[in-house]
Amino acid sequence: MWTIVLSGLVTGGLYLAISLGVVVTIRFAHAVNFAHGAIATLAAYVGWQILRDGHNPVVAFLAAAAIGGVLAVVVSVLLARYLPRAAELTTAMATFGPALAFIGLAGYVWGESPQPLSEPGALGGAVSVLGATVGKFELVALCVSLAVVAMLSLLLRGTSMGLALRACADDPATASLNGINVSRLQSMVWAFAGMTAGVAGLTISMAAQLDPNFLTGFLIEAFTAVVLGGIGTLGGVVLGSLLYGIVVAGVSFYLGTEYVPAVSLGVLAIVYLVRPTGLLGGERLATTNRVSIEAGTNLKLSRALVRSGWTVRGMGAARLTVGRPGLIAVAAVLLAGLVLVPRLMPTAWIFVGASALAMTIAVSGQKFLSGLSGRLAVAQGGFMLVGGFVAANLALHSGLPALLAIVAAVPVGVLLGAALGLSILRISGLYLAIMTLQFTLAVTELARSWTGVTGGEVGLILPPVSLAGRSLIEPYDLWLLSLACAAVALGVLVVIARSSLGIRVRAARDSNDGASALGYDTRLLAVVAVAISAGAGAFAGALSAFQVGVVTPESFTLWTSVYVLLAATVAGQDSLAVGPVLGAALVVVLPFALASAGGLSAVIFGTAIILALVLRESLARARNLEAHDEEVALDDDKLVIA
Amino acid sequence: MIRPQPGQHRIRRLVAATTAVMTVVAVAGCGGSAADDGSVSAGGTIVLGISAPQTGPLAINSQAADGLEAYFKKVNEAGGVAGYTVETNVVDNQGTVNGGAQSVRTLLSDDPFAVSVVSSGAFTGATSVLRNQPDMPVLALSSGAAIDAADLDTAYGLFTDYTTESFAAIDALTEMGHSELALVYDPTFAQESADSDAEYADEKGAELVESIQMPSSSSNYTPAVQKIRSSGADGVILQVAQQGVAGLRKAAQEAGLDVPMVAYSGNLDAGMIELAGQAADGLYVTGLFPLLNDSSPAVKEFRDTMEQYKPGSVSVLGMVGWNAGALIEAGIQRAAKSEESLTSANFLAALEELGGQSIGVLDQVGWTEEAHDSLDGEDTSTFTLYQVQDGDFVKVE
Repeated sequence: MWTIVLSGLVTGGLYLAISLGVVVTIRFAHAVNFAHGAIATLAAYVGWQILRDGHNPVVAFLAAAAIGGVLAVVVSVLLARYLPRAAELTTAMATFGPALAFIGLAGYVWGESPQPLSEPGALGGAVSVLGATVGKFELVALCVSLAVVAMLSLLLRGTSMGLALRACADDPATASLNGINVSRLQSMVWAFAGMTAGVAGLTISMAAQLDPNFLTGFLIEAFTAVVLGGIGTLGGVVLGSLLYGIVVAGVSFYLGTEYVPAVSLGVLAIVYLVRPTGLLGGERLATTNRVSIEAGTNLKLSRALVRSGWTVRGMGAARLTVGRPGLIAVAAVLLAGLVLVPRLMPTAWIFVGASALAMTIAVSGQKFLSGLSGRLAVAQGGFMLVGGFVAANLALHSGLPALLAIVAAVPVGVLLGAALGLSILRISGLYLAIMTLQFTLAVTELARSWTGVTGGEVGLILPPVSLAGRSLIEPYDLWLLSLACAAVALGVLVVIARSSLGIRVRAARDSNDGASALGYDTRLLAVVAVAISAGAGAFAGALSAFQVGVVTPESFTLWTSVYVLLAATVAGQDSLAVGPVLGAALVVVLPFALASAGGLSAVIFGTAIILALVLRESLARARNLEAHDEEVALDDDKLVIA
Repeated sequence: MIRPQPGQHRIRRLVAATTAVMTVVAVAGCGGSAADDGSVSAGGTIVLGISAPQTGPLAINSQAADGLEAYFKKVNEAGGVAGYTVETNVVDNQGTVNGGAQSVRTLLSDDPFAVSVVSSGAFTGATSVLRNQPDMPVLALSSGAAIDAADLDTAYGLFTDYTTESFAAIDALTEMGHSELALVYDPTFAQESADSDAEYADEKGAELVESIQMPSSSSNYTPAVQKIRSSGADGVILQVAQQGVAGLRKAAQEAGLDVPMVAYSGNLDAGMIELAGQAADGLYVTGLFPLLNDSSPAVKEFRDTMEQYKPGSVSVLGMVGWNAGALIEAGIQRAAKSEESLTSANFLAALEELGGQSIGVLDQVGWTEEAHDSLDGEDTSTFTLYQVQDGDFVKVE
């Protein structure tokens, strides 16, 4: 028992090491940096290279820290210059761009093979602690992590810089008015966080493994530890990390690793019933109140867009009013294009188009939740997997026609969504994101284990969809089916969004208290939003499964949820049709187009994500400039308190 | 000033979005495709489509594609195969189910002579497409369970079957006198081992006392080591990748757990010994392919050519891909002899005849008429047992 606990504690030390920088960035720079793990990866590879060249481990750690600091500052400059007024979700998702690019770069430069990385000689071997053996290096890593947290805590409490940082964390606007250079402090925070990423990356790689993807996955695990303890305090991250390390070790030993996601989900649900901000977390981090320097680049881009006519006014001025007949004509031309153009395309591209349509449904459902309802859930991959298996089982074992089986996945998704919605009522922000992410992981593990229903690793092979006695096997037939499904699904979601229900959901998002004062049951609205989103996800999963012809536990994973959220972020806040089409095209069509680009495709894709988000923000900004009749040729940049 | 109506905004956005998507799809898709009967004119070019994970967590498996590419670079430089030039076309499948289906569709649009799919998940996805191509030769680097489940007559496995290999490990352990066995496996490719090993161990007079899942993302190996210890197992079968084997060996060493462990052939690689360090000593590994440092001319040629074209892929996976090239070359040569023009049908027939022969780095190809899901022919006796001694693999007689 003690051996398991001790192993959990040292693993918790590694969670603490990787998550400290993330928490500091959230707390003091008000940004969620998903690129932290990738920064740690690149820094660890540099450290590994230095060690391999025969240099001292101290040099390797210093270099890793330096590289981590520089990369983190690069990410912060990117956010500050190009997304200065973007919502939290947008900036958080924007960090996935550099994350993918850094991971791709590491693989391109150093290869995909895991690299051997031993701990420094003096720290090799094991020691006995109260009768249980543990790796000396891991134990030292735990102690150093705790020492760093202690020193940081002293710095925050006992120095003027600490006071300034706390002021910056609690209310940057007021801090700025009191003469604190918030921007400079936040840059220092980013640099510090990056340095911890570098050191943590090299440490964890020595303790576990070094390959291009491992640390990003490890960071996602560590996020669970962070939200368990609570983001607001350093004590919370320490407690969460150590406790979660013990939970994972205990579950792995007594139940099996396959139960870790489900138990994690249960633990988080129970903790949040009592404390919605984690064990030691505070309320103050639930919202962002940041100061940003409008560094000019984003503003200049927005002005350029206004001048170029790529905004409402520009295009509107150049266009005749079309009226209702024009509307119908445009719709007819669009429909004809959607129906006829794919006939001219190669088979592979028709299928990719069909996949993008299925993804569009999932993204639109995600938009209903994260956009209209304002709830940051990362569960769509889980709902898609459930939808896929429900439809597959209904078609294979109940004799239900495939098309009906696809539709029948919707109510199952809605019910599951409602159940999940009830359990996440009291949480929001990153807490909600991580708990729903655990839901996706738990569904995947359940699917792997429940082989009687899912077929295990080989999954279930599906029959083709039949309509009026005709099997839809040809790609063009599947395209038309997907187009019809997407049109119906998006139409339903748009109708719901415009109905009184949708208006109430939006009202609750904009002002929960205001909506309550109007007599709306905001809790019910929150649950309904999850249920509707889940229904769309299940429908998309079922459709996608029949498009591919097989569904396995690996068909929709954690990364599916992340890509759906990414596409939804690109889609914009309230768009349920056009935005999701563009977002889905980005995450489905672009990777396909890059499939022959080799190892650099991840770098290109990551860059494209950043560009897409910057362009979307700039367009939104340009529209805002126009809508408020702002002077386009504004003078030089100025400090704006957001 | 003209202010557009809200409806016009929507139309504009819809037009812009649809146009953008359709343009991207149409422009990017301009490559054309044509179907034929699978025949290649004498002296022509044979297109080999390769679907491999070049991005994502399974990207290491693209080393197999590197092996295939290097093999045919060497072959083409030497004048080709029976007068044919073999052109490889690699498309990323991201190691995912959907990626497998989409990559194979892309490959099929180039009208390949044969298709090779790397990684189990991608192969499972690809089968839905390949099922509609009943004559297409498919060479798969995938778990035997996935190839078996695909039920594709034209699919040939390029690696060992993980379940057969776990049976070989049980054979080895029981022959050493161990009777209480534990299995540690990665559920993404070795679930079938977990389902089958208990019965096989029973047949061998042993008992599977513990079955432990260990996903590739594991970072704390102590719980698994303690489970093995508390189960009383006196032998362990390892169906996990190199990082998992290395992590488990280190944790076992720290915990003072000294029971024989037998890993599958993906670990017959100096890289695993580097990862595990001294903890690798004593580990047994079953192998079908020879060691990477084997002195045979075939393995030396592999090493030399890979160093020339793909120096980062001198690995077990690289060798598997390389040997796949040798198998394809042998199939083409045999098929080209028997017919005027090379066709899918005579190529498949030729592949079937390769069973039992020495090809590439393999002494004996295990394909049979009944079973060609893997190169081991589902025969545990085809495996050789090695042990790590003083940082090197040594054959166990």
